[in-house]
Amino acid sequence: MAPFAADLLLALAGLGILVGCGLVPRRLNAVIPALGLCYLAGASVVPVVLIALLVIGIPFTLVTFFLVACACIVAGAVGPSGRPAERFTWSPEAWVIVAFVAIFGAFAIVGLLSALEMPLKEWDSWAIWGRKAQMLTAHNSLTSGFFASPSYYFMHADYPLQYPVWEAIHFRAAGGFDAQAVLRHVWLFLVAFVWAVAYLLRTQVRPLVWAPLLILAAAAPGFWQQLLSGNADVPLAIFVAMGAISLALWLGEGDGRPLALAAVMLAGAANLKNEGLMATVCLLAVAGAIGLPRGLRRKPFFFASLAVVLAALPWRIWTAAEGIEGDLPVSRGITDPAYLLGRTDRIWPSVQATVRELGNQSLWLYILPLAILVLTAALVSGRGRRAAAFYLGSIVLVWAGLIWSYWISPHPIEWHLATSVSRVVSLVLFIGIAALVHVSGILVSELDRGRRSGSTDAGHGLNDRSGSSDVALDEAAELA
Amino acid sequence: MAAGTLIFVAIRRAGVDPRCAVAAVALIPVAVAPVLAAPALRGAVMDLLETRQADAQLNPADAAVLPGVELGADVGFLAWARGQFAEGDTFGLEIGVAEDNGPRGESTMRQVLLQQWITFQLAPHLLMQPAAPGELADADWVVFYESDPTAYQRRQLGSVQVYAPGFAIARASDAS
Repeated sequence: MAPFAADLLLALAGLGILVGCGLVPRRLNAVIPALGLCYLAGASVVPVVLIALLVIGIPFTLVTFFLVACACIVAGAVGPSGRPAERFTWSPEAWVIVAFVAIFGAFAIVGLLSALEMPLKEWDSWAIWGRKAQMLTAHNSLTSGFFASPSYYFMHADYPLQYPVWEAIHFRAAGGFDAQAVLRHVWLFLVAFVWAVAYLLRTQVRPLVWAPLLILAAAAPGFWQQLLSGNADVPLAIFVAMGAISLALWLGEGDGRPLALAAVMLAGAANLKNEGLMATVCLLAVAGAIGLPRGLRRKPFFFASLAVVLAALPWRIWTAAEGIEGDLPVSRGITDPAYLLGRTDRIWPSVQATVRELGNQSLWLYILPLAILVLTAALVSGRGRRAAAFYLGSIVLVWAGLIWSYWISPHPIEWHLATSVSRVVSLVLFIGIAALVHVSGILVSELDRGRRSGSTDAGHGLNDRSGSSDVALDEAAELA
Repeated sequence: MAAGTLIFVAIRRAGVDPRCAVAAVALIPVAVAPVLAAPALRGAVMDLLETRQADAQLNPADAAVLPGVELGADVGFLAWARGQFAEGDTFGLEIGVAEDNGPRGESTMRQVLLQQWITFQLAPHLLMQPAAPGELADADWVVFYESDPTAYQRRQLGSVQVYAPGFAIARASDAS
């Protein structure tokens, strides 16, 4: 039970962070609905802080973990009380929520029962992540004899330690490394993600929309199978997707609070894998390119971006100081056109392989095509256009980033694609899940609004002033 | 796209504003999701329950070495070797090339994969690399996996403990 107590502590730490950011009211009845989001926030921030402490030489122990979590909880306790919690009222759609909880809850329980017995089997799950977690369980520090040793070149020593630290927290709570005892906690990422998306989008997306779409996402074999493989790709994709939703909310509302949440989630993503850092840069670039010219306030955006950079820095500084290099020649991939031109034959196979995986509907249940459909509808109709442009731009840019990674990689292209492409595309798919739920909700809300106002061809159509926040923000920008 | 177009046309014929009609396309995922999710959920539940049944047969010791067993590693030897190490001991590793490993490329790949598993099962004891090819690593122990310790000069090794032919550990001579 002690390892599950660690999960509870992570959720409480996340609650403190979210209350401190003004995203969750400091009310008892606000905790349960926000619990999934709280868990993800805690699972992001606490390991990021522990990595920074490790880098400066502070030992990683259960005591350190407890103190960091408590500091996050205190941040919420002393912060502003925030807005009042929403009152739950019974409406016809409340029964949709009840049905969703029953169906998803049953699936979650079955998944947890399976994960309770499941050992680490997939190669990366033990060779990379489990190995690092094992070392962090046995040692309190970043022992150079392991993390910087050429003997362990195969374990991607340059990868940040978010996931191994998270695993090691559970191993330490359990009293030692146990290959059969970590996937039960990994499963919580699926539960927390679904819960968090529903909570975060509750004011913009009706239960009639998010409930079936989130069940579709959870049922996709590409989601739960990859998650239970013990690889880090799906947890990474979850943090990226939550960051994407947060940035889309900021673009739609201009509210700084979702921006703070974006920083929390993307800090975790940037510290999980190098693809996470790439995706973080892509999302922030697209959000900035769309939001800043439209008059959204620059300072909060730059502070949020700076927070993500600062969160990613400690590990990067440590690896640079230890002389640890990644296998991808990133600087050459940016500054050396001759290097790129000499290997353009890698581009087309990468495009083919990624598109093939993205189109594997037996794994992903048509989530991406459905997302593209609603994004196109939003762009054409003008409703939720800003969010749609952001999601579409992020999907394209992250996908391009994956292609670029294969382009610059020194590994044989066939081998590299065969051993990774089915995993790395989950980044794109999860942004697609976020887009599908969010933008579908915006469009359905506009449809409701239009139906209630009795829109007709000869009539007044949709009243733009009561329409989406995008329109209101654009008008405000013009007046400014 | 075809379904979206049909819905758009139908709603426009009902006299709805064009932008509203396009927005109605969002109804497609909401309608389609339960149809797609239901069989997937059923399949997922069956898979998860079957996996649980299979994994429940494993005892913790077997579960811990499952990937090594699948690789064909001698997990019994490695467990025995780990039991001989004291806390903080380091080890060097000599992996031989077994006769039936096929072409040279396959042998090299097998050695690489074995090294990854061996270092995992012997963790948290750290692998040390030799200073130069042909030399033994500067470590507390040397693990001989499918290789013969007698091929190395005796003065470099302390007492050799043999688990089985081709599988042995030896103290570095300074530590013996």
